[in-house]
Amino acid sequence: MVRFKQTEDILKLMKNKERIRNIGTLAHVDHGKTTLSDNLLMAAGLISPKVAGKALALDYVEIEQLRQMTVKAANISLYHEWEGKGYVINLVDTPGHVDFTGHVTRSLRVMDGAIVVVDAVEGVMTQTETVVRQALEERVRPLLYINKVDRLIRELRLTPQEIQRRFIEIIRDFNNLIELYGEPGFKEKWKVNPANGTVAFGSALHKWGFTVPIAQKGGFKFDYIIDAYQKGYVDELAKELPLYRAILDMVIEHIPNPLEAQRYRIPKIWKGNLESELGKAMIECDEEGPTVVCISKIVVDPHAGVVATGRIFSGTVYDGEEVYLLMAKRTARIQQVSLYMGPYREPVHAIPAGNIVALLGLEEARAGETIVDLGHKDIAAPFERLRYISEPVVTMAIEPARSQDLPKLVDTLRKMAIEDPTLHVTINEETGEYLISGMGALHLEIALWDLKRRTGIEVKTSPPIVVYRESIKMSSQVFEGKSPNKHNKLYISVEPLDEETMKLLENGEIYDDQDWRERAKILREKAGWDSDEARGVWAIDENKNIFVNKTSGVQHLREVRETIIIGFRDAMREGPLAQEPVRGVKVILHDAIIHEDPAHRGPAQIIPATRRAIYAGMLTARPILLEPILRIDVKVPQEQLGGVLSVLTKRRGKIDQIEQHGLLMYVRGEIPVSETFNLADALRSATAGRAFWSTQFLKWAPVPESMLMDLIKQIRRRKGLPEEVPRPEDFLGP
Amino acid sequence: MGELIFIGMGLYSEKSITLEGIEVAMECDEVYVELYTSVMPGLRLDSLEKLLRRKIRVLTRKELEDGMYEIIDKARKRRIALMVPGDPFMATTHQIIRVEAEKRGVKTRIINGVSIFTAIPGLTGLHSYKFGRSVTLVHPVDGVKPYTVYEVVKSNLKMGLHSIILLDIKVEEGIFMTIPEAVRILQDMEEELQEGIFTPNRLVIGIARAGAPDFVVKADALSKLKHYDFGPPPHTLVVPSEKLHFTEAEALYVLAKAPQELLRGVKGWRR
Repeated sequence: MVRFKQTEDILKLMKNKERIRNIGTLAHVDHGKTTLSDNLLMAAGLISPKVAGKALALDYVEIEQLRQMTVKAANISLYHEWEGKGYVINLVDTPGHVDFTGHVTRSLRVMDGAIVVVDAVEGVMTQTETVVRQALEERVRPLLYINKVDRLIRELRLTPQEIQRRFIEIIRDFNNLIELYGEPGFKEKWKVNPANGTVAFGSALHKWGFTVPIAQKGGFKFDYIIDAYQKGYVDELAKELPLYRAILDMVIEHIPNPLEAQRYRIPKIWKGNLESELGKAMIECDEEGPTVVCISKIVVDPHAGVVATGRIFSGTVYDGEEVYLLMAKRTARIQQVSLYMGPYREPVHAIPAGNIVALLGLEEARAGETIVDLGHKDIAAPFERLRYISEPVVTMAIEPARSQDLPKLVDTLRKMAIEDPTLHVTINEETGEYLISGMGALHLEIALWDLKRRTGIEVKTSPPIVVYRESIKMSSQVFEGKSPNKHNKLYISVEPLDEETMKLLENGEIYDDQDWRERAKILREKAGWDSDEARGVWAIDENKNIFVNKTSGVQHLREVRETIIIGFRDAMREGPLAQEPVRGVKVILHDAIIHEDPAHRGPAQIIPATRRAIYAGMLTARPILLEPILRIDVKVPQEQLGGVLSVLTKRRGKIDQIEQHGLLMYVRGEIPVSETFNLADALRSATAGRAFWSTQFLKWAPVPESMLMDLIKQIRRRKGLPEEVPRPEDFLGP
Repeated sequence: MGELIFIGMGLYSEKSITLEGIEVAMECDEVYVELYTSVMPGLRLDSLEKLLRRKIRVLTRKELEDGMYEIIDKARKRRIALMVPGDPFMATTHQIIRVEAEKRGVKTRIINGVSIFTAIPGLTGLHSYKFGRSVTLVHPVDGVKPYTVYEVVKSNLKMGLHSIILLDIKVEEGIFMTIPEAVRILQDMEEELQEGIFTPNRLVIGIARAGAPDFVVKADALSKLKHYDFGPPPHTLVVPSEKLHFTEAEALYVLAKAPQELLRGVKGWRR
């Protein structure tokens, strides 16, 4: 309808930074984030008011509609008028399920403010806490929207006083999170307060909403809303108090524009030199500066190919511009620059700093990539390595029902793994079996739906299997790893990584392709490494293991360094106990004898030599299996509490905390992933379906000794390995 | 009593094996052959079996490396032959088997064969006592170049010695490095290190299929060699000393068609 005019309006405004806001919506699962997005879309005139609330326009993927949850972050540029002036609001949609928190973190990087949606009935939940914490870590200002107020009125039939009390409780919980996780200097300013319009109330389903200033200005009282429900004129409500206005007014007034936001966000989220030309240009959000774009999301479009979406922190990107990809270490040409209008991309030739953009032609780009001006490629620093709170913990085998569909299946899986870095696709070379691994059973289930939607292929899958990790509890002696031709020897020991180092790995402070001086400094200062070891780090693998070279003066080592690292990564991918990934191990190379002729020290010789010494070391260092443990939060009426506790304890669960909130009991506990595959049914029948519950990844913990051997045997059997665990001697040879 | 006998098969075909080698192999209880350390372009297994009038078993690298102690063990009671391309111990790989066998009290014997190292002085006319360390050129692994080759040739040149550069062969993976590929890798290293070793004008000799009837020997500037058609593998490079004897220069001119201008500085050689 009026779309074209609005595209032009938006483009014009994009050049005026004071009229730009970059935001996203965050929520616990099912609190109504997607429905809210539709209300906002409606405001942009892109979908008709009637279907908003039902059509869920941001959910391109059918499964998302079925599940009422957004899997993939989409982007949209909206237009809104406030106090007589037009504004562009770039809306980054984010997933509501913490199984995919990696997506949330990436989205947060490109936005300056977030609408945190909280269900008025359920209140602040686990994932609300997680997303608020993540937002604050990225210096993204969270605003509160209390949704589903209609349920308080219609289902719970609360009085206006009770409703008000409920609001106060939620606002208090929300501000407690800001107090807990906010940085000094931000948390006081960022606490929300209904009186100044930083909290919105409403029903996304019925499309109405308000802030206290809006209500005051229009002379509305809450009784009017209750009356509307009692007398059945809710549609009027949506006209008089449209939700999108409450939200967008709140955003424009309280979320900083990119010029303001980049001044304090860049020093936090970008690790380069702030005094450099690049640093200054980003802090100033300078459209004349060198190009810097941070990519938050990749979609592989069947027609357009790789579509990279991100935020322009500096410069102006234009069609045909040649840029440098810092992560891929490649030069590429931008074929087309577009802005988003709902699900559509509108080619616009050029977009200036401060905005969200879609770029075509960057085939090598992945989510998290930093794109810079060609002239600054050597001095530019990437944005912080994106930190993942969750790690893949569940896997399943997948094959097409008809074997001729295999190439299509493989191709689509490959595309999906490009788009979603938390989805791993691997092939078992021996069995030819394809495995997909993800953050939870639900993540995989959704990936399968997505796969089916894209290809129409029927697939067969194995039941979900927990991915364990192998680790060690003590240090080993130094072992000699011989190459198969017996011409090369590597002297290697292994030891568990200390807690401090694991923390540095987990929060991304140290990583594989980091500048070694910077990494050595962090390891020395924060984890107490001695300086030789800290300087000797050769590699860090994706499962959080570190390879350290402590040799000196070994001849030819330079030429086999990469091969040794491959051997290390191989060994870490499949440990000696059950060929599960290894986690938390430091591998130290003490000495080496490398044959002088390159023909005798090729990969076929050095890789096994490395792996053998590591395996022998691990097997003598009290090897263990680690299992993924979930945090579980349950809200349940008091009389059903017993049912919940018995379900959890029967499943090796641990209860950490039980609190009473009104009539509800809040239970917080821990439960191993392996015990959760039919948890939903068990909880439902134990509580007559009256428990709200949610889980998210908490930690890796050792499998109890009493279960260890049986579990190892069971995994080995499943993988077609001999049941007996190899002995250290098997890797040493005579 | 058993025995482990290493038999060199020479360079080209089953007919390159010495008469002694054939006789000994015929008398063994078991005959193994290894074909991964080099390529014998004319060797046919069925012809070899016919010649020896017996079955032979081909061992892959993995079978020989992992099964080494089993073979040594067998040789306690039985007479075992291990047939190897070239001369058995020019590939250092097999030394370890012999030493491990002797350590375990298993008798070993060697029947020598013709090696690339003895063929090269003949093919090129370079003096045999002037060869320095030899080295194998392998493909870069993950972008790491085989710098050892550069260092070896550099130190040989400094001492006035010739260098033999064997080009990587991975028979089991079907990888046979050719002279043009080798030249490219050497030039890449020169570009990085810039020490004047593999300059475009460096005189280099390319050899293909030494010992075969259709062998090729061609001396030319490094940059030109890459455009020359040497035919199928195996290929070898020789970097001659900068201090050639005039008889060597003459031989390179006559036998390897070296361009005159590259030999001009050799004392006592004139055309």
